[in-house]
Amino acid sequence: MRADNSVDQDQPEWDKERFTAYQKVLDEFQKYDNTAGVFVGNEVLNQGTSRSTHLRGMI
Amino acid sequence: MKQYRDQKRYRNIPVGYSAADIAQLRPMLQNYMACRPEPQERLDFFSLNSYEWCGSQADYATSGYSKLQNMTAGYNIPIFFSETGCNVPPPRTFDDQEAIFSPEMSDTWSGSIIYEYVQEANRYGLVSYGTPEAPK
Repeated sequence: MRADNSVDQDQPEWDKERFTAYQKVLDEFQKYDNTAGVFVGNEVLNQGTSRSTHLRGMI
Repeated sequence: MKQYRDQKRYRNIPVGYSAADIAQLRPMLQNYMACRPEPQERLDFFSLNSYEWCGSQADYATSGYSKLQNMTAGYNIPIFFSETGCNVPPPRTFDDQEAIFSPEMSDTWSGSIIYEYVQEANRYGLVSYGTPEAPK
């Protein structure tokens, strides 16, 4: 997994490690009543759709 | 993440995704991420990083925004522009914002975010402060 936890779209991993990292972000930002939303990804799927089930799993 | 949020009884913070504007993929991806009967299997919002509106001569029809609107009318979840701001050719006039909030689009789109606040090497910034980055 990349050090900055960004998703490599050729080898996406939605594993416990990434899920835990995402959880920690939400754990922290949910404390603020002005947190407007969170993104499960930005521009992850740019070529082809073979990884789309992986992306939807992150929702 | 939505299941985790709900299990922890956190506030119902919207969980979404921001997509690159790739014409061959986006309409399908938009639907794939949103058209599920179970709320926990679909996004709370979808957003688009769009740099189609370029130059001071562009308008709703020529910019491609009318096509974006056609492909999105009737969408089942909120959608907005998570990034906007083609900066070539200069000057950057922000006319796309007027279109997004116009009658043609404002019933469908929930607003727009400008890319970006701080000036960086790629020159999309609105303000600059601190030590400037060297251009690449």
